[in-house]
Amino acid sequence: MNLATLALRNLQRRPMRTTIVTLSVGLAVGSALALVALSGSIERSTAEGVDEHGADMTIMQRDASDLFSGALPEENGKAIAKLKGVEAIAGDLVMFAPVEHDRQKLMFGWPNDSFSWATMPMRAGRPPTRDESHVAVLGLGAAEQLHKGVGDDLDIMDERFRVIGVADYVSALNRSTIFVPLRDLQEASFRQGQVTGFHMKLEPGLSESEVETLKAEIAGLGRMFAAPTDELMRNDRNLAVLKAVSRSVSWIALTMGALSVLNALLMAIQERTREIGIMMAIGWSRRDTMASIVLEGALIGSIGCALGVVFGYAASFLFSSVPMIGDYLSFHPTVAMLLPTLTASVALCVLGSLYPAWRATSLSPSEALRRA
Amino acid sequence: MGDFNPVTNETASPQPHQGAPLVRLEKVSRTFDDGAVVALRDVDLAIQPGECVGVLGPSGSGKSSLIQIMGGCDVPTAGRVYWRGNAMTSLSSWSRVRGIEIGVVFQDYLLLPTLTAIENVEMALIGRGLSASLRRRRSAELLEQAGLEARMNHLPYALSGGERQRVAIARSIANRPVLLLADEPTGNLDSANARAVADLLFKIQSAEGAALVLVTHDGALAARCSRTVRIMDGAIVDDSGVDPGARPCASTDRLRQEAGARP
Repeated sequence: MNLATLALRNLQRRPMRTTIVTLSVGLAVGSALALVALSGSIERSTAEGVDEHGADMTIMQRDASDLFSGALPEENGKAIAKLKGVEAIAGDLVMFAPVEHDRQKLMFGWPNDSFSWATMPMRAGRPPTRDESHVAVLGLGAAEQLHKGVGDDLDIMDERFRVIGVADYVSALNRSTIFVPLRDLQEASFRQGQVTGFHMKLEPGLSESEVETLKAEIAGLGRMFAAPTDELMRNDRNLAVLKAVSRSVSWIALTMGALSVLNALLMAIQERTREIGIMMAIGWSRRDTMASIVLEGALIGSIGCALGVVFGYAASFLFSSVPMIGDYLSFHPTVAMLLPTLTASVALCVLGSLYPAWRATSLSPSEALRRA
Repeated sequence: MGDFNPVTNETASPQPHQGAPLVRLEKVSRTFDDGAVVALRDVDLAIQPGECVGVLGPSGSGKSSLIQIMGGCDVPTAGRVYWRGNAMTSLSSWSRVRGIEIGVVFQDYLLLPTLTAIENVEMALIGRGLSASLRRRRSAELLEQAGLEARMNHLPYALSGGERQRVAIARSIANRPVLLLADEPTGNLDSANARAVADLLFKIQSAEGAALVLVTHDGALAARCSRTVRIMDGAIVDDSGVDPGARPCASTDRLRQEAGARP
């Protein structure tokens, strides 16, 4: 027997206590992990969705709070197309709209000649032709949710559309979106001649300074700014609010998790004050006594973290099944999220054991035995 | 068992002073609750190597406090304690001695509930520079010596009171202490088990040559020791004196004879 096997014995032979403490740690880590994943996924999912449309930059209204709230003249596209370095430009109208009367779905309206149609990965059917109207391409998730396929009719804002294709996008955002010709969406929403923004493709080989010049020229056209996806996300105020809220919730979850872990460890060690007294009375040094307790805390932390990863993934799947979350956000804990959370959790367990262990071993053996 | 030489990884024990008692208490007092409870008052006591001392007194007389202080498990609120002539001023100074040169047996055994009998004995040998196999072998030998060869892998809850106490005794002598302190070791046992445990303690004391301080409220048990110290209300009221070698610990037979001869 050594310090490690002693710690293992203590855990094995107190199955109920070990289960409760490790479950507490696991639940704390799992909920923190799920919420951190949710927080990170809001920006990532939106960015993935925008990137999949094949644009190098997005142009938005300068004062718009987010991707949805811009209101720019479609005509601006012509002026932008003339600028040096622009290979292609396409206006788009983005909004949530009632589909099949009572279901709100995210809609993208693209001009029939937009390069985004050309890069759209198709699972079935095809994108619209140049002159086609009142047709729709559904993201795979939207098709499944609406039980629609190629050839079916679909009511969007009380107008009848025909499904001509099902797109096989990867991002959760695009999988739950319905894509229609820009003109149709403008008419249905009474926003003729208006777009929420533009997607822009740049000529290959542009230098950084040329890109900066182009951005300045676009800004000079009035009320607009151009930005790559990551910068766009940084400027999205709705996203910023959502991220702030979800980060706050994550911090609350982390704090509560940390407190629950500390409480569980404190209780587990306090109830062993007598044992600590025995160890010291039979000649164990304070250092060895503390080492055995901290080792036990680290073991609990490690097992709890392993459980936490399972719980975190399970919670992510659970959250993803909630329609308004799962339709547009794909979130699973990533390695980048796991590492800091798990490192912090094991460190917390070690530190959480260290303090009560230090306190318990500060007592004289007789005092420790008396307090039990 | 003869080749067993425990090595501690702690700082070396204090250098012994030639001719000094193993442990000496000088005007030792111990109070609790800011002086409201006085457990010991101005106690002077010295224990010589190899001595067998019975400390006799009623409940609450301060016997356990005395043994806790002598064993380095507690520190006095006043007075001084010397180990082999060195003043022990703090608990940390005792940590080099406790468990290695001093073995303690408690009334309620104080075994670790999650460890088997052999693991409990092994606990006293961890951190003494012994290999795991040597620790295991030494623990098994000690339990065999205590007559527990068939109970080594049982957890404490599966052992009888007498067996638990024998495990505790095996643990207390694992490092070949020079001083063995036993705090009411038979207090929780029936008479048969009490006799067996007492016999084991005296046998070990005799075989190992360690000093034994046996705290008890049982006069017959105390009478088996070569020296008897009576304690009352925290003060020593009678000490039969130091006479090592002149009167070895009484064997059970002799004790029975003495008891039978009394009117």
